[in-house]
Amino acid sequence: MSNQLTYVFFAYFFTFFVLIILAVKSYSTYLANLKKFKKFDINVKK
Amino acid sequence: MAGIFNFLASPSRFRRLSERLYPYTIFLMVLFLILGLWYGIYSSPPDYQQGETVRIMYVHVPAAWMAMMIYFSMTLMSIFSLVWRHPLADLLAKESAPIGAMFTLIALVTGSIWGKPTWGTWWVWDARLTSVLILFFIYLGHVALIKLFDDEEKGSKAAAILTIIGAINLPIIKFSVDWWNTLHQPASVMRLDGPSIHIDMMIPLIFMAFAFLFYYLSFLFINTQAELYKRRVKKIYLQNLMRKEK
Repeated sequence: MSNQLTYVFFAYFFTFFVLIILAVKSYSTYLANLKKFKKFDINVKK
Repeated sequence: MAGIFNFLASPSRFRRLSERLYPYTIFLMVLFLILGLWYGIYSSPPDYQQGETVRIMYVHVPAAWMAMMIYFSMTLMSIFSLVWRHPLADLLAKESAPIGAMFTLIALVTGSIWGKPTWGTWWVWDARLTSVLILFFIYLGHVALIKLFDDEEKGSKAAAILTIIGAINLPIIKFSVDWWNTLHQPASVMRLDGPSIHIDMMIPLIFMAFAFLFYYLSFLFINTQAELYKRRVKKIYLQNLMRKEK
């Protein structure tokens, strides 16, 4: 029983580890590009 | 239908639309994830043969569905890009590929973890497992091809051709369990004579599938916006440079 739950734990752990890593990477890239865009947009308007 | 494609052909219009949509898709993802985890880990019963390890199904199967669905959508985008030269098709395919590769990796790894207690082995070179591994390599090939070319347009064209050729793998994955004698079990949900799975196990499976679908949509919108901002900055920078030179 506990052996079975160990397999279940590692399957879920791996899944959510990968999902969270990709989500964090995607969102940080989005924020960085949005920041650059706003900076450039302000400079162009000036 | 043509009106929708024309409407979405404008990158700035698509960016504004996805900016408005992604908070809703994230909300739906979290909602379905909570429901899926509640039913999958706590509420659904263990299997009479596999015991608790059946709970791996609630991440393994939706991830495998997403891996195939994303590839199918990438094939359609590649056709739109090559035939109709839709301006956003390449970009959507490019941003879909890493998410699709990630879902394929999740399906492979969780399948391997499930295989050990069920089959007694982490891996076998049977038709289903091998064809999914090939799908993973095609995803990686798509990502690598775009980066390989200095001219991104050429890279996208090469990647689109690879994606269309690689689509032959999709029916092989789906029907491999019927065509060949495999260790992997045959389909138990998407069958012509209806699902053979019990409703108590079907509910978390469907919830998790929706959670993964909304995850894909959320990060497709976010990644596409990020890329469109990057391209806009590059365009403004080049325009400024040309103005200064004049």
